[in-house]
Amino acid sequence: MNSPIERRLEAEEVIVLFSGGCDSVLTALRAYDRFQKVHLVTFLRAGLIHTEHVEQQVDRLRHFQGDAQAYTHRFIRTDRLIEFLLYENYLRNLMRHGTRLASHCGLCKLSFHWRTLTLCLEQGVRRVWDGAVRSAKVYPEQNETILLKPLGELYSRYGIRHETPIYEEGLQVEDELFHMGFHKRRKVKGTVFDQQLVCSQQVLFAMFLRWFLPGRSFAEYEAGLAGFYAEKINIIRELTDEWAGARPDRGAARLAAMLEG
Amino acid sequence: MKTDTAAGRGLGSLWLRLSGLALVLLSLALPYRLRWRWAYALNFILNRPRASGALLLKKPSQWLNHALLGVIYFIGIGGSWLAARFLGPKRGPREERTFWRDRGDPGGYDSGMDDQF
Repeated sequence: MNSPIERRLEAEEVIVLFSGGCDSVLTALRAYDRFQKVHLVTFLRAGLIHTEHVEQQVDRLRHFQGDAQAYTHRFIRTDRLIEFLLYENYLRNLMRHGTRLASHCGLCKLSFHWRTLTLCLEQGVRRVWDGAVRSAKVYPEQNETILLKPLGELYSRYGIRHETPIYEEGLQVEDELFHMGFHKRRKVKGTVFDQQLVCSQQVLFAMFLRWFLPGRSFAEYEAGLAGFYAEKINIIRELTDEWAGARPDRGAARLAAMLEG
Repeated sequence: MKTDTAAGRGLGSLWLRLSGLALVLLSLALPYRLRWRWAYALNFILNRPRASGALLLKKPSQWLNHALLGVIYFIGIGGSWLAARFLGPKRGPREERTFWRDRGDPGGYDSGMDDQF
């Protein structure tokens, strides 16, 4: 824990995508040491459960820092965004990309990032952090080739920096939290002490991997999904441009209708 | 078969792949809310089989509904997907073998999107 004087603060604020899991917690702890204001944002959609875990983790973070104002936190729904990403031009995409349309985890996280992008533009925040780690690179949103690099480019288009500060520390995250004193035990992930938002539909992505991975090398898996997600990013960019006023002639209503509080 | 996973060998591999494919296709056939609810039920069944057995006895109509949707998928959208997968042009790199021509400029993606709003 660092005192406010010890913190090497940048004159900036940051939005941290926060699920309450170990990776999110370590990211939030690092963010507190770097930024004046840290806004934790947890995205919700149908089927994400145990929001109380997230609230408990936010309270624990504030207590750990000894600063009740250390973090702001809010929940934001993204049902409309992910529904759009899942079903836009559905039959055409089904023909073109086949079962890649069932890579639910990546599409879900893409909706989270899309909402984060709009939140940054609404509130003038220029930095975004998330707890992606290389060791989870099978997930599209934690894979540099599939989504991380395109996401970084998408954010930078609007003057926002997206960073993954613990990307290379995936396997050491639990140890770090233990040594920092945030956790009282070394092993937390996958135990009852892993207090985070739970996705009750992760089985869909597991089934997608079960079907999709065995017939391909990992490089083929990455390349195939990268093409699919590149199209999704293009659509996001187009709608966000309209919404942000870069192309006012096209109208901004389409994205505005999908942004929930 | 090229693979870098342990699931890529033998009969176990076939079962894993086909069962995975069946569930993926069924999920693709479902609309948004129903897709999440179905996955929630599947998760429930896999993780709490005894409790889910009791639920199945209470609400068998939900299960019948899922089966019906699966059939609709396989004779409809599933058939279309299989046709595109196996009857499409075979020239060029694997990723480009589809019924559809490359759409080129991403600016063309918005055609018809207004219909959804």
